[in-house]
Amino acid sequence: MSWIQRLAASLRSQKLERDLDQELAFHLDMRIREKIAAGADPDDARRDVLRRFGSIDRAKEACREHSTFAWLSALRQDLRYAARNLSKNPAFTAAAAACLAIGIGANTVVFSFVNAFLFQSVPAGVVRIAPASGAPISYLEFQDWQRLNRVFDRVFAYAPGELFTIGRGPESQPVLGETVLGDYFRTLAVVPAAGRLLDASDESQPLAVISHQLWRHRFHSDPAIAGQILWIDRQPFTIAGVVPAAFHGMMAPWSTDVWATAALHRDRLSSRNMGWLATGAHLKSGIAPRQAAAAMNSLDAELKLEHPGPQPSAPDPIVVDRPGLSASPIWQVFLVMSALLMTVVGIVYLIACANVAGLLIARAAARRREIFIRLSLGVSRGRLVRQLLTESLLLGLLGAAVGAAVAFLAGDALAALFPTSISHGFQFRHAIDLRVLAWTLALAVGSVLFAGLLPSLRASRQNLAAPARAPRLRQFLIVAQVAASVLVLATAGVFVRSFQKALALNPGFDAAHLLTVDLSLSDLHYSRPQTQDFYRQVRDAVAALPGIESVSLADVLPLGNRREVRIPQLGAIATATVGPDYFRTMGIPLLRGREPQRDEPSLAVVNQALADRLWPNRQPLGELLHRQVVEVVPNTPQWSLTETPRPFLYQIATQFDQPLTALAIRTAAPPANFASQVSETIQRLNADLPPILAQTGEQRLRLWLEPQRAAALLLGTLGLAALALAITGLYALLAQLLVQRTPEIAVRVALGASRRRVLALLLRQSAIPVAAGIAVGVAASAAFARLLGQLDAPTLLAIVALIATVSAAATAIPAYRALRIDPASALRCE
Amino acid sequence: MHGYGIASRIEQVSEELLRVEEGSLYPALHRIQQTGWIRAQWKKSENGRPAKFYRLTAAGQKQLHSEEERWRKLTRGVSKILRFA
Repeated sequence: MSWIQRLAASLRSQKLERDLDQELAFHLDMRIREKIAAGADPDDARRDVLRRFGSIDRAKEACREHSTFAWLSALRQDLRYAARNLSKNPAFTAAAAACLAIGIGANTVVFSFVNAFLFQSVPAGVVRIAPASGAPISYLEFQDWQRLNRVFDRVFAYAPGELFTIGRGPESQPVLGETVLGDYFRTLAVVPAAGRLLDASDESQPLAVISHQLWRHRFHSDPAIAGQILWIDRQPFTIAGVVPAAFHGMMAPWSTDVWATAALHRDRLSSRNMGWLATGAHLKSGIAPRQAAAAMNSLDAELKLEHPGPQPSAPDPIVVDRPGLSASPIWQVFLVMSALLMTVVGIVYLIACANVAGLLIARAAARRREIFIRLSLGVSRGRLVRQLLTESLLLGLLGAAVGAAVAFLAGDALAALFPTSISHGFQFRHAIDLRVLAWTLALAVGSVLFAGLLPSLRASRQNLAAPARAPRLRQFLIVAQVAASVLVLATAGVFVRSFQKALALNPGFDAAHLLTVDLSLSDLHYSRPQTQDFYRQVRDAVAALPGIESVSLADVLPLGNRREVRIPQLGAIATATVGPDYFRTMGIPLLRGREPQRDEPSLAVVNQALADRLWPNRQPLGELLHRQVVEVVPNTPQWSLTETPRPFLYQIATQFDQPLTALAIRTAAPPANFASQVSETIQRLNADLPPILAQTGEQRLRLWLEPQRAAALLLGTLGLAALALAITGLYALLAQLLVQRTPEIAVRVALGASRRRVLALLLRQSAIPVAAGIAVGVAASAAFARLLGQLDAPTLLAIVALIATVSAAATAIPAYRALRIDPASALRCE
Repeated sequence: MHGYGIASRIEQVSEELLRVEEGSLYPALHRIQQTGWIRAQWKKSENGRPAKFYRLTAAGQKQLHSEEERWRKLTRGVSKILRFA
C-alpha cells in the first residue's frame, strides 16, 4: 500500500477512531469513579473495571465493523487483492487487457469522431424552411420571408460550403466558408468565444466571424482579434468575433472556418431567380411546424402571384421541419457510416468481452482449489463474487486506459487517412473530451457486466464435492463469438466487395487518354467579355499543343460539383454547360441523334434517363428550355460512381463566362505526359492565376473511389481485428474444454479407441457450437445485408469457410496434443 | 442517554439481576445506530465531560413496539407451556 493510500485511509478513519476512543474512555472513567465513590482504592477500581469490561480492542474492532466505512475498507482490500492476483498472472492479465484495449479503443476512436457532430445540438424551436425539392432560394425571396411571415420570430439564411481564399499572396489559404444572413448565430444559440457574432443588422457591412480553430492556428488565439482585417477572396473584411470550439457550422461533418456577411455576393442580392440560400428559423411559441408550413405556403403563393417567374414552374411546396441543417452532401453518408461503425465496433467490443469471459472461466477453473479453500474458510458468496468482479473491473480499467491512449494517438493518424474527396482538405473535428472519456469509462464498467459477471457467479457456486460440470456457458460463448465474427466479417465483406465493384465500374466516359484542368478566374476580377475571351485563349492555346486531339470547356465535369436547373413539370434537374466538342473529348458515346457541331450554340443534349422521362419509346427528340435536343448520351454518374442513374441535361454553349470552369483534354499519348506542359501553357496566359493543376481522368476517378477505399480499409481492419479476437477466444475456449477432458480421452485411448477416431469425435463435438454460431451469424448478416445492400453468396461462403477452418484448427491443435499424452500419466494426474 | 448510563440503568431497573456484558454493549449500540433505530450525538454529560448520547428515532420506536409485542407473545406462550408442564 502506498503512503498516499495510507494517508487517505487514516484521514478518513481518524475521526471515527477518536470518537470510539472517547466513548469507551468515558464509560471506563465513569465506572472507576463509581467504584471510588463506593470506597474502593483507585488502582483496584481501575483493575476491576478493566477486567469486567473484557478486551477493549475486541470491542473496538466489533464497533469498527459496523462503521459506515466498512465497505470502503473492504473495497480497498478487494482492490489490493485483485491487483496482487493480476500482477501474479502477467500473461493472463496482458491477454485480457489487450482484448479489452482493442474492444474499447476501437469504440473510443469511432466515438471521438462521431461525438463532435452528433451532439452539436440545434436549439428547440429551430426549424429548416425549404422547398420540397431542396432547391435553394434567392435573396429577395428570403427578404420577403423575413419581412412578411407571421409564424417565426427569427429567420436566417446561409450559403454553406463556399470556398473562401483568406489572406493575400503567399499567406493565402483556402478555407471552408459560409455566407450568413439574418439572425443566424442568435437563432442557433451560438455564444461568442471572443468579440461578438453577426446579427441581422450587420448585413450590409463587410464583417466576418472565424472558427475557434482558425483563431488558434492563424491568429494564435489573439484576444484582440475583433476589429482586425481578414482578406476574403481579395476583399477586406473586419473580424467581428470568434465562435466557440463546439460550433462547426452547417457543413457537418466538415468544419466551417469563416462566416461572412453577403458583401462578397453583392451581385446576387437583386435577383429573384438566382437561388443560392438555405433558410432556417425559430418558431414563435405555440406554433407547430405544420402550421408554419401552411402559413409559408400561402405566403409563397402570394409572392409568386406578385413576382411571376420567367416561366411557369412546377409546384414546389415549402416544407418546415426539424433540421438536419447540414447542407453537406456527405452528411447522410456520414450518419449512415457512423451508425454502421458504431454497430461494428460495438460487436467487436462484445467479442472482446466474450474473450475475457472465456479467459476468466478458464482461470476460475485453474483457481478452483483457492476458491474452495476460501469458501470452506467461510468467505460469503457475495464477498467472493465482489472480489472476482473487482478483478474484472481492474482489467476493464486497464483496457480502457490503454484503449483511450491508443485512440488519442491514433485519432490524428486516422483523420489524416480520410480521403481528400471526403475531407476536401477540410478538417474532420475529433477530440478526446469529457464525453468521450465518460463513454470509455462506461465501456470499462460494462465489461465487468458482460465479461465478469457470469464467470464470477459460476466460480462462486462451485461445489466442493463435484468437479466443474458440463461447460454450457462456454458452449454458448463459442456460439456467440462465431456468430459475431461472421457478422463483422460479412459487413467488412460488403464494403470490400463494393469497392472492388466500383473499381470495375464503367464511369460512362473514357478516362484513359483524358486530362482535366479546373480553372478559377475569381482572383482576376475579369469582366464578362474578358472572361469569355480568356477561356477562348486557354482553349486555343491548349488545342495548339502537339499531341492534343480535342479540347472542350465545361462548367461541371462528371463526379464534380452539382448544379441544378428548374425545368417545368420535372422539377430540379442536374445540369452542366459544355462546349460542342465535349462528348468527343470525354469519350461519351452517342446513343441517338447527332453530335452538335462546333459553331452550334443553344442546343441541348440529354442523358438516357432524361430522354426516357421526356420521350419514352424512342419518340422524336423535342425542345427543352427553348433548346433543341439533338442527342442522347448514356447515363454518366454525376455525384458518385454507384448512384442510380438520374436525369441530366447538357446545355451546349460556345461562350463561357462563369469564373469557375473546367477543361477536358483528349490526348494521343498517355495523358500524364502532357500534364506539366498544359499547366505551363495556361499559367503563361496570366501570371495572376492560382496554381494550375492538371489531373488525368484516372486520377480523378481514383479520387472518387477514395471514400469506398477508406470504408473498405476501415471495415476490413475492424473485420480482421474481430477475426483475430475471435480466433484467440475460440482457441482458448476449445483448448480449455479439451484440457478438462484429457482424463476422458486417456481412458478412451487406454480402452483401445484409435487416436484418429477420438480426434474425429472431438472435432465433431466442437463443430456443433461452431456450426450453430455460423448459422446464427449468417442469418444475422443476411438480415443486416438487407439494410446495407449487396452481400453476395461467394463472399459469405468464403467467410464461412474461413471461420470453419480456423475453428477446426483451434480444436485440432489442442486435441492432437491431448491425444499424445501418455494415458497412464494423464489418469494419474487427477 | 450515553452508553454508561444505559448499562447502569439496566442494572438498576433489573435490580442487578441483569448485568450488561460491557464489551458487547458498544458494538451492539453501533450496529443499532447503523440500522437507523437510534441516533447518536455528542453532548455534555451530567459531570461536564462530553459523552456520546443515544436517542430512539421514530423508526426505532416502531421497532421497539413490535419487538415488545413479540416478546409478550413469546413469554405468554412459554408461561402457558410451563403451567401445562
